[in-house]
Amino acid sequence: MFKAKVNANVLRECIESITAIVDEGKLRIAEDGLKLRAVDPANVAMVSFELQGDAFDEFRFAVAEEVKSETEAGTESKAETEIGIDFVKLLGILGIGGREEVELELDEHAQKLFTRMGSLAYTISLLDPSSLRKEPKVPELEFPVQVIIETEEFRRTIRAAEKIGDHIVLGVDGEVFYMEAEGEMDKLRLGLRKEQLIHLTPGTLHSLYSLDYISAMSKGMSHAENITLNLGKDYPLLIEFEVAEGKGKVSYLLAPRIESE
Amino acid sequence: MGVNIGAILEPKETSLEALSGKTVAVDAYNTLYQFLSIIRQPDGTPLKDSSGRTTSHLSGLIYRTTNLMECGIKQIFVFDGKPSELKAKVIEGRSERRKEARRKWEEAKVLLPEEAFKYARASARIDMTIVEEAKRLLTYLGIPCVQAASEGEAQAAYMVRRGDAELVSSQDYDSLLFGAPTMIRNLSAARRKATPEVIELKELEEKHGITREELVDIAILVGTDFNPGIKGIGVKSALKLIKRHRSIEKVIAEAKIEKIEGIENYEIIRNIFLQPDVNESYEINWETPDEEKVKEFLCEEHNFSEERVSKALERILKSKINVSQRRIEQWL
Repeated sequence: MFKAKVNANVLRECIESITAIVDEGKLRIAEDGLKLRAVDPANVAMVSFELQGDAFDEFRFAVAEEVKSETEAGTESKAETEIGIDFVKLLGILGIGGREEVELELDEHAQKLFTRMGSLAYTISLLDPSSLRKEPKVPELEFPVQVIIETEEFRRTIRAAEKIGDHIVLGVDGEVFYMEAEGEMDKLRLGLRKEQLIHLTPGTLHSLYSLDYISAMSKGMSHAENITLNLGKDYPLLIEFEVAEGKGKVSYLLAPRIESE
Repeated sequence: MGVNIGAILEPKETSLEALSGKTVAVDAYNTLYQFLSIIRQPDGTPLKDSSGRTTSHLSGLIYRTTNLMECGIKQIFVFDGKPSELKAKVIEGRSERRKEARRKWEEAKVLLPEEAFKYARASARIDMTIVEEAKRLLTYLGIPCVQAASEGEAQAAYMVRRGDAELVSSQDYDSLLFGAPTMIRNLSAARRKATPEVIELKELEEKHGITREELVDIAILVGTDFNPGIKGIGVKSALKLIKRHRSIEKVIAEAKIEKIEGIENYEIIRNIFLQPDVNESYEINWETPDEEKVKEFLCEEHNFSEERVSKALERILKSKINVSQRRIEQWL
């Protein structure tokens, strides 16, 4: 059983942070909130999403009886339910519903999610979780450098870089964090000193990333005030930020483009 | 052209970035045909040099191919060999249609300029000069060319099965019938005009519960480059028939199809797809582009803009650094 009420803007912000990477995925519902981890179809980026139950105005969850008895017979019983959701569709519905509070109710038996926004009720058929990709493993990564930057500063640079080329360099040179894009004609560089940032680990390294992915991510983080960038040399990029006024955490992992030969 | 089975396929969209580091066996005739039919002036006239020779194919090769190289995608161009006798008939029909299109294009240029482009496209044709020029440019660019024994797509599919390439690139679906495990469409389309999409044979087989042999039978019922198919049978009804009866023989016997006109050579055609003639001794080597030769050929012989060609070459040479998009599995 899952029943919840949530502010439509909060829900939209959360779903947008997921659709930046995947269109559909397996959402895990437990007593303490929602979780998702999914990789994009090209295996280049991953999103991890966690939302606490108290981000909701009302959040009630209990494992269905028949499921409970089955799992208890087995090993450790895990009080959670997994549902397959087409997030793009859900986002479209929230767009129609406007700013109302959203009520959610799961019918696990019929594999449907009821949504109600004011006088509008919409029933979404769930996706068969077995038809969706398996949840990826948690990567084991160590990042030598961490940068905390205002989201708007980052997004502005990405928007400018989109006009120039299809990739972007993120790096740290001493106490400066920089973003560089170079195309056939133009070149762009943003350099921010330690005091212009919220946090910076000094170092000397950089990595190259596909701008298509970073652009999509930059849309998914638009409601966060700050983002944390974890960087290495020719290494994945881990971007972390909060959603739902700090009651949710999102992270994006992006594999680098590597120059060889 | 090609077999019309698109309606039962579920292509998956992908991006050039995601294909970085992969090797693609390109159906050369199909790609050249795309260039010749699409790269045209607004009134439908193909690009031409000062002596009036068509250069649309060369323009496509240098600029669009550069895009792919820049993204770290390796290409092998596979050229058709001798067409089978059955195909000859289809080709005959095609050249009739092309002549008709050409006549209509000439008319339309005067009467209906907005229609001209459509007819111009349909009049595109590949001749030996076009093929020879394409091979010359590809060689100067350092891209390997492979000569097929017969069908280019059969050869490309064979090369993927052998592990020399990972995908067949073509707008037609025939390579699936020839057994290509993975194929991609829209690879040479102008960026942002069409999204590249991947189709996997295994997924297709699993989704419909059919084998490749049965897929070939479906194609024969619908019509291929080697036979017109049965009139009135589309791919969805062909799929139903084959799923119920499992082979053309049984469809004919059990579904009581009286007129087998259009599929009478089905055994031969099945064999063309399942046991195609392929060239087993080919070499694949990627070389550094010969800048001077490319410029001489394109700029001096065919009046290309020196500036644009230089820029394209610069991009290719830079791509030699081989920037490849990594996948996150590497860190999981």
